[in-house]
Amino acid sequence: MLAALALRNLFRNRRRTMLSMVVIGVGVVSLLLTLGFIRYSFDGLSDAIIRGGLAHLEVAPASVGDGTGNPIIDRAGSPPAFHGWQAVRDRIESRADVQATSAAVQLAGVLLNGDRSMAFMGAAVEPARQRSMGIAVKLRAGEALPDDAPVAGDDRVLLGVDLARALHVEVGDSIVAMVGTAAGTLNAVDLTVAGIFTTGLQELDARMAQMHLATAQRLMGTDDVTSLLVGLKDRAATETVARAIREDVATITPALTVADWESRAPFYRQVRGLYIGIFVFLGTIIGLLVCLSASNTFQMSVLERVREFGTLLAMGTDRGQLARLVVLEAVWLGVIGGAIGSILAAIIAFTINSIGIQMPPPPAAVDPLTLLVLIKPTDFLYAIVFMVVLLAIATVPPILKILRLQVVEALSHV
Amino acid sequence: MSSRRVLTIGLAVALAGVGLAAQNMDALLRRSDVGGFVPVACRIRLSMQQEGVAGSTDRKAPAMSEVELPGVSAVELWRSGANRTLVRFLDPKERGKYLLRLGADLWFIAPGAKNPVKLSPTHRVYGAATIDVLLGMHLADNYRIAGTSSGSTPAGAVVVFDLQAKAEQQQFASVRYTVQTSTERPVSALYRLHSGRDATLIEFFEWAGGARGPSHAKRILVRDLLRKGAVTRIETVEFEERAVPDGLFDLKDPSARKALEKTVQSQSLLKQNH
Amino acid sequence: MTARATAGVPVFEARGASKTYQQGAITVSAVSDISLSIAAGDFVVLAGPSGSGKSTLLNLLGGLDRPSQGSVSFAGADIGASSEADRVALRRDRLGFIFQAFNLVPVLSAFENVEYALWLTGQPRAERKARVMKALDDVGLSHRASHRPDHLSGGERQRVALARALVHDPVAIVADEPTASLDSHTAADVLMLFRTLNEARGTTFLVATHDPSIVAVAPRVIRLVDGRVASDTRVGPS
Repeated sequence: MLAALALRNLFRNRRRTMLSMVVIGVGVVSLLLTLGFIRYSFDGLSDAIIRGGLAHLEVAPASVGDGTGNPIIDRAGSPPAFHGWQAVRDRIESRADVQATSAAVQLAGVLLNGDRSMAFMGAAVEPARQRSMGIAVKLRAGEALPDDAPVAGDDRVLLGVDLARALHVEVGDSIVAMVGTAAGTLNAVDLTVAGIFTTGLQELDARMAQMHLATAQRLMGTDDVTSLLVGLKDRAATETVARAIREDVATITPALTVADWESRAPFYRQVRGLYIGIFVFLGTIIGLLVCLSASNTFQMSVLERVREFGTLLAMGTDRGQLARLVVLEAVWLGVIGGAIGSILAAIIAFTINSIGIQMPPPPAAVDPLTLLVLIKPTDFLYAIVFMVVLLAIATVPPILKILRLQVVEALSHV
Repeated sequence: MSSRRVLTIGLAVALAGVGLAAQNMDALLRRSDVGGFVPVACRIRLSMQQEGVAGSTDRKAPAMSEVELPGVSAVELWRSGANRTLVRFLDPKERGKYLLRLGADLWFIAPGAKNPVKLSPTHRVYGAATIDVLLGMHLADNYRIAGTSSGSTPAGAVVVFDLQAKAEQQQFASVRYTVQTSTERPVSALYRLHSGRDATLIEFFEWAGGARGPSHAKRILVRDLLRKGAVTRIETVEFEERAVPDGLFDLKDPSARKALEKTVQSQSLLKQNH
Repeated sequence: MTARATAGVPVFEARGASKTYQQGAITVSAVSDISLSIAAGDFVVLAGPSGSGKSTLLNLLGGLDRPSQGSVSFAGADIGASSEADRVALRRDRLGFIFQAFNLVPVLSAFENVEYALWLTGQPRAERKARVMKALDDVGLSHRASHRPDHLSGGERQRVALARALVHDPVAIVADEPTASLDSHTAADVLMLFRTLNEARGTTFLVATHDPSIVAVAPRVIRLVDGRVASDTRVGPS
């Protein structure tokens, strides 16, 4: 009975209720669109990180990567130290939830083109395996590295776009790579520029080079690798698979570590923290606005019904029931306003996603972003629940008034 | 004789003495100059080992042999004149690689690269050893004596030279050079950078040659003071004063070097068969 | 079902009941030293001019307010001293209220307004419908059950209010100026209804009014002047 009465009470003053619903609806739309954009950003960023070369998991000797805390720098500064990696890879690839496992060598050295020389950080990969893991290189010119291991004299390299520019080389040109070998001596190898790519980040485009695993091993005079990159069929299974692989390789010496992509991407964690902070701040502002607006509405609504409340109290309704009535009105308002806002948000999100709005590239990135809003079904529910809670909080002042109502005074209220 | 005359004569004798002493020190420096022990044209085969590398457990002068020990690197230096040196890497994985010094320039030649790559003249051949360390620097030509002092060691009396670089371009601004007076051989050389930091300490443990050929340092120990005292032990395995084909120093034409590799391979096969 | 009044025990009783209010620095005495007793089945009118204390006395007897002095009892229980919860239960289970302005809930239909009083008592839904329809039938409005108050006339609204006050079978009905908002013809109809139900059910009626037509037909009239009982007479047909 109270629920039905509460719902009908909402529409006593249609204009005021509509206005409240607009406020709630706008609040829900703002929250959902922001959440959807943030989710798209997170998904996009994490996808870019995983497919950009980090893969879902990395298996490496425990000693590698202890240094500056930046895994790229630390690994590039250490010679490949993963012995017997082929057997470990076979074990990992036999898992049904693993898409592929690619050996990788990270190295650093100097690239030379005549008198020009540039320091570089290199990633040596197995192109076919990386491709099956969904890791792709964003080529700006030329072609990708061939799948087969190149023979000596036929080594190729992909250069970051700014690195190629600094070296004044184009596709087809020949350069020399010089690195410190695993034995601590020097080696140099001629490389043909097969392609020019972008990582999406300006700083890396000025430093990164990519080559076939065999080329790097030839350069460094070793059959070892730096790590194994594991690509999974389902990203959601990252933690489960990591745990399973850790158990599987626990008996191998020297000890191996299994790290997920997030722990190797400090930039992602920082961005995530920033976005969450922004979202919480925005949510707080919206919440305050909705709460204050609704509180005013409820106060007015209760003031207008003082005599009615007096009558109900006279009839034997207890104050708790009256308080519940007011809360139920808030719940209905939150549900209906939230539902309207959710529908609006869905429509706006669909429209935005269909248009394909281009946003400027984020800081340090190269390519512009297409604005997308990814809203999950559960988001609508959370938004509505959030509004209902806010509105319930907004009923506190009018409820306090009801609790202090004197029946006789209320009955004579005009 | 008047006192003035006595004073003048005394002063002249003293000055002459000082001058003579200075000339004697110059002469001692020149005679003990580590750079002067290496003939103008020669072939030297060296065995080098870094401290802490597998196979090296003896902290004193290790026992060396022609067979490469694990963790031991072998190089062969070919020198012709003051300005031309070829370093040939002998480790199986390093075959075909060379360092070629022509004047002030240092080039790296690798089998995987068509063209040589220019390096810094102070590039380390192995561990803490640059080419200058391996061949010995010409201290008498490039440094002047700023001061001397004498001391003694268990092996005998020594003279310690404080040398200052004559030219600012010198890699090391000063050298503390300790020479054993009885043998006129260097005991140690401490090289200091322009910043005042100690960079490299070379200790000479054993000498060879003399009656049977040119004197040369048989075993030396090089400490890299800029890298927490990392140590490289160097032993001269072969030392041959001989003419060196000019072709070895041709930057563009590798044929002489290839021929050398073939010759060495054949000799090595012959040895194995015998 | 509410309990009927115990035989012999007055339904309403006041002993030296007084009620004072503070209006700023001034203390106003609404009723002073009132003692009376109303038996079960009585139809009693509290009469008097405006400001005589009728409504205040009604509020005290109906458990809507507490006396400043003296006592007020319902069916032998001192309601002035009882807890808020007990007074709420009393009003919910044993009393029915009718107001001058009808005080129906505008968003509920006639049926729902009456049903509300039953819902308060905890009646299951299935049983409520029949009783509501009977109550509406008793007041002659079963054909208007689905109409909201703004679609009912004044007289019909007051009948709905009466049905609401009766549906849970209370011991007594407390009505404050029930005909003040009605025309004379309608007021007479409503009054007739009150009397009919009083006689048929034996429900005690306590009506505060200054309407002479009600006073004229009331079996017992207690007149109040300046907050005191001026007279307490049984007049008209009993």
